[in-house]
Amino acid sequence: MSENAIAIKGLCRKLDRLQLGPVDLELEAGYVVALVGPNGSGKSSLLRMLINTMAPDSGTIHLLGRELDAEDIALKQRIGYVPETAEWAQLGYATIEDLRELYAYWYSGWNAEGYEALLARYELEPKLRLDHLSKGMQRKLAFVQALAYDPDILLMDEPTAGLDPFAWRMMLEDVTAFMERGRKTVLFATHILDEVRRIADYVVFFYEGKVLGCYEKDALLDGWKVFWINAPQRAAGLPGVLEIEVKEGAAVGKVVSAAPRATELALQQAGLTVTRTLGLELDEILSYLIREHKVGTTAVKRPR
Amino acid sequence: MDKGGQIPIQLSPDSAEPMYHQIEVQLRALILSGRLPEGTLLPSIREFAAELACSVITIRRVYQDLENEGILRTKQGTGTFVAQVGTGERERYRKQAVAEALREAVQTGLQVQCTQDELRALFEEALAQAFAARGINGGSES
Repeated sequence: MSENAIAIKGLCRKLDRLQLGPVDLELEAGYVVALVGPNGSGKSSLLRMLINTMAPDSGTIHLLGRELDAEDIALKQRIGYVPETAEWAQLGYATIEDLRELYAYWYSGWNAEGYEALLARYELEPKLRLDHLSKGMQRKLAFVQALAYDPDILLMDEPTAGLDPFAWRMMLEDVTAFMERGRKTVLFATHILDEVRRIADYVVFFYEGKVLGCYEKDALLDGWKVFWINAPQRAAGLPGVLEIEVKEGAAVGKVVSAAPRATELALQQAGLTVTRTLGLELDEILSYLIREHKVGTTAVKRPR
Repeated sequence: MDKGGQIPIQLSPDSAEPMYHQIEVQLRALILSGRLPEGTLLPSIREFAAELACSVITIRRVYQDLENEGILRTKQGTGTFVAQVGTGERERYRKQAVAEALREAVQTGLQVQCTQDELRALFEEALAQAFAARGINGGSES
């Protein structure tokens, strides 16, 4: 148990348009985990429950081996959070410098030097007014603030939305650097699949308030391929074959496989020549998984 | 992050081979061919993963496999290094890599219905071309 940075059990919460949960999820320390799913699937609500700004109806959350508790200040010090929209201005803080004072006071792990360096790196001036910050700047600032007290778990809600490509790359680099500092854990919700590909170790697919699956990212990408072959109809029923697509009158078509090595072997044995093999994008894989989920059966046996 | 010493590895998502296998094959080739000499410090697992856009799980597996083969070694707290590779092993590898490439070439030929004789002729032709381009006969250069 203590190995898990995040352990969620039977978590439920009634939302406006959605019954979230029951969510069961265990995330081991030392990994970057991407939370991916369509809009309105409950990703932000899940993150809010993890930082205790939204109460679940039932279920438990353990962070770093301790049950989540609003009074547990020591635990709070070890959790970083980059929200989708920051509400500092409403809290009555005028400038970036005001906010720094608050954080430096509250967080025992506050690293003044590290903070200054990050602030400069993201081109944020201490005098800037919080209510004048663009969305991208707000995200950069929230990210800098969270990193500056060196938490053990970093939770982020679409942290790179609205960032220019330079700041985007910087943030990914800084997440990597953060992970190098020891047994850290990052859980971030995102729609940007390129960043999932680049920095995530695991992908949690979230759909209609439920976890569709938690996958090792590379195994997921390795586990789905498209083969272009002649007479693709002949691949029907072969191991791993999920779907066959062929345009009318075309000799060559696509065979989508959820077990590429088994499929490749079977194609060879059947004397079918593969002209091209292509990887699938994560969103394509997700839509296949959603479809499988809707049908309620696993149409394809995936040998491990 | 901005450290030098990048390892030239090319991952293809468009291959049915799993990522760890692609990396392992290429890293082994770099070591056994001597392009990564003994003592070379490899990137940390996290760095290498970021460089190749793959997960740390994959890199850890590659490092472990190659350590078990004896061509990498990890020193606690300092990192993973290229180990000493015996000349026998190098020699064996040298031929193995060529044999593998040839097997692949044969497969390509079979895909377009080449006969054995055609394949042989193509091989001779390629050989002749290569040596003609170098302006030498079949010397024992490597």
